[in-house]
Amino acid sequence: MQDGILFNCKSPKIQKVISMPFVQVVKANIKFSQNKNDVLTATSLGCCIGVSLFDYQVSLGGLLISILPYSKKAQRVYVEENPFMFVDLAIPYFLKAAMEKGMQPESIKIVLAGAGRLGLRQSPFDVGTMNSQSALASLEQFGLKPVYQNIGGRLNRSMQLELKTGTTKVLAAGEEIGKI
Amino acid sequence: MSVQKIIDEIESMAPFSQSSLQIIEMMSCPESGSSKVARVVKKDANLAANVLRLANSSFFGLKQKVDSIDHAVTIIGSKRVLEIALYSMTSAALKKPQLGYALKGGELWRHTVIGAAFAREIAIEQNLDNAEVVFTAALIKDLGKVILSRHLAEAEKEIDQLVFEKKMPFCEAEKKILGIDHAELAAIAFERWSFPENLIHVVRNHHLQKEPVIAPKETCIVFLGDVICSILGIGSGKDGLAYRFSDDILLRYFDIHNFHNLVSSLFSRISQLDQLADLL
Repeated sequence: MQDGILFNCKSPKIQKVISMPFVQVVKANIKFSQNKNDVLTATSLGCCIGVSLFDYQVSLGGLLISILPYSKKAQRVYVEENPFMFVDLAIPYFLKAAMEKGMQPESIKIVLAGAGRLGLRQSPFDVGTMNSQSALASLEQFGLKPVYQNIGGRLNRSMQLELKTGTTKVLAAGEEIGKI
Repeated sequence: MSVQKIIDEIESMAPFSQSSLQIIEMMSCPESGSSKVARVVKKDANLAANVLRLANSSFFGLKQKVDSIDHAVTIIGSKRVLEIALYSMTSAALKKPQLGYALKGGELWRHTVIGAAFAREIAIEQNLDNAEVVFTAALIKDLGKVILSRHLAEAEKEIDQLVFEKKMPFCEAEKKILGIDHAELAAIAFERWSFPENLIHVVRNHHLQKEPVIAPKETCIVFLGDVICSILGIGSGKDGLAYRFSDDILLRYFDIHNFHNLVSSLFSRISQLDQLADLL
C-alpha cells in the first residue's frame, strides 16, 4: 500500500520511494515481516506511539502502534476488544511475540516515534507524554531501551521500517526528520 | 495578498444552494417536520440522488430498497436524511488535497466525518439537547482551510518557522502571515450565506483560540471532537497538534478520569466511520 504522505511526485527521491512496497500498519495493531522488500509503515501518529523492532541476526522486523498509555484507565470491554490500544499491554505482547519469532533481547534494535504533545504546558490530557512514559517503563520491565526515540513536541509524525536494511525513518509532513 | 482578496475567494467556493441553507437551518431546529425535510431535499436533484444512493448503501444495511425521498425519511428518519444531505453538500470541497496543511486528498474529509461523529456522540453523552447543532458545526468548521490552503503552501517557510520554532499556535500563525485564520474565514463565509448565528459562533471559536473565553458547551464539544482526532492522528496534517490547547476549559466540562475511556470508546467506532467516509 502506498504511504502517500509525499507530495512532490516529480522528485527523483520520491520516485524511488513510490516504487517501494509499503505495508501499512493500522493503529492499535502490530505487524511482523521477514520480507526484505517490505517497508512497515505507520502514518499520522499524532499522540499515538510507534515502536519498531529489528533483529539483524534473524532479519526480522516488527512495528506496533498503540494509542493510550494505561489499560487500567479504560473499561474492561475496550481492553478486551483490542488490547493493542494500550501501551502497557501491547508492548509486553509485542516483545514476547518477537522473542517467539526468534529475536534475541541483546540484538533487538528498538525505536520509538510519535507521542506528540497537545499544547505546551503539562496537562492531564497530555496522552502523548504518558504514552512515551508507559512505553519506556514497559521496555524496562524486559531490561530493554530504545536505541533512538523521536517523540514529543508538536509534530505529527509517521515512521517507516525498511526490512532490507533494518533502518527506521521518522517523517513529518513528508520530510525525513530522523533515521537510524 | 490582502485579507480582502482572500475573503473574496469565498465566492469561488462551491456555492451553497437555497436547499443547502434550508437544510442547515433544519439541522439547527430539532422540531423540523419530516414532510418539510422531504420537500426541501426533493427540490435539489443532486442532493436527492445522493440521499437515495446512501440510504441504499451497505452502511445503512436496510433490508428493503428505498425508492423515494419520502420513503427514505420514513425508513431512516428525517435526522439521518438531513445528515446525508449535509455530507453531500460538503464532501466535494473537503475531499481535495490541502497541501498548505500537508493533507493529501481525502484526509481532511476523513478528519471531518470522524470528528463530527465524535462531537455528536460526546454531545449526546453530555445530555445536550442540540447535538445536531454540534454535529453540523463540526462538519462545516474547516471549510475555511479549503481557501487558505493554497496561500499557506506559498508561505510554508514562514508558517513553519512561527509554529515549530517560535511555538506559535497555528491559528495565530495563519493570522500573522495571511491576516486571517481558517476559523474566522469560514465564519465570514457563513455570515454571507446567512447561516444561523449559533452555528457561526461555534465555527468561529472552534479552536478556543481566544483566551480567556467563556466558551459555550457546544463549542467545547466541537473542540474536544477535534482534539481526539488529533490525538489519534485522524486526518491530521502538520497543524494537528499545533493549536492552543485549553485543558482548563475542558476540565470545566469533562471528568479527566473518563477521558481515556472516552478515547477508547470513540476509537472502537473508527472502522465503521471510515466505511461511511469512503461511501460519501
